[in-house]
Amino acid sequence: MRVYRMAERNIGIEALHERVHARCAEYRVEAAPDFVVRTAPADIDRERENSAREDRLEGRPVVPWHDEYLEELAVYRQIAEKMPAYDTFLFHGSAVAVDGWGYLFAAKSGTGKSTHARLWQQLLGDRFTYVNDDKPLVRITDQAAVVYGTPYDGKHHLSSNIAVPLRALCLLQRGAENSIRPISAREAFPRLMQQVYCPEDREAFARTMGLLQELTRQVRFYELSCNMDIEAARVAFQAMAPSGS
Amino acid sequence: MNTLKDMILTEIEGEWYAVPVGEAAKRFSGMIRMNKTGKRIFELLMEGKDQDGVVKELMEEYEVDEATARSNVGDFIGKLKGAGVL
Repeated sequence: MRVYRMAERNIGIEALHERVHARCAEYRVEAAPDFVVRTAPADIDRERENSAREDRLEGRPVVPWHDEYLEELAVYRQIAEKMPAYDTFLFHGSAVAVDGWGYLFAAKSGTGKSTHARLWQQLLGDRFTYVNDDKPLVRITDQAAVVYGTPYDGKHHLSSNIAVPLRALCLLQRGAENSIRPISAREAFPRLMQQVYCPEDREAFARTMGLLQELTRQVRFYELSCNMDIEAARVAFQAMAPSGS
Repeated sequence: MNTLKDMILTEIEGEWYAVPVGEAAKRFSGMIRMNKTGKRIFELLMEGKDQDGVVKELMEEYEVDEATARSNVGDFIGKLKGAGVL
């Protein structure tokens, strides 16, 4: 077993293949685990079925993934099932940091959240850091929601092993012009639910709902209509960053 | 098919949602949004009360007449059936 630290937890991983360890290498620690995840061939088969089901739903050809890759997914799923017990949930979105503040972009797949994050990088240069471009963890504390880099960072592997307080969560949609408006938690909630990991375990699911309630008290929500011009990043950043940024 | 027991109630800024969990999430994706009265009806149905039982409870709790309660409960149950939850 090797132990990795993500979102303030030491996670023991016992895997069948080496690849998941390679993915997580940067997060390795020598410590006793808070919990352990183990994969069995059945977990890999289940990921294969899930992936095929999603492909069919989206009308794509079914991709024959290798076991190594499917095991990586199985491991993160098990981590996501455990994390609500530690006030943490997995969120599908692109998380970035600027001047020490976290911003999380969420949208349906294919809308362009990663493209938008890249525009922020172009606009802000050295002030910008990727936290996790695909599946960050978010931990709720008494003071703030904190977004964490993890090794599960999308196809371009854009992430850093850092934690930043989450300032805003921005729901993206494509538009001809660039415009942004603050929205209420009530308005944001149905779309948040589409991007948050919903555990299969009832207890973990109920905890996740409680964490989302907390999130709505700690974070500002925005809806951004944007195109792919750098102006989109300017409009979004100016609206969400502390004044004077 | 009754999937009410496989749902979790959650509140966001005064609005209530019933969200499916586990097996229920495979049969029914999405959420049911409801007001406070809807949420109370939902809870009573989750407890296993039948339509008449829910009507009786609402009449007592909200001091409404039977026709009003029956109409509210009927509408709400229709909504749940329409969503495939009941």
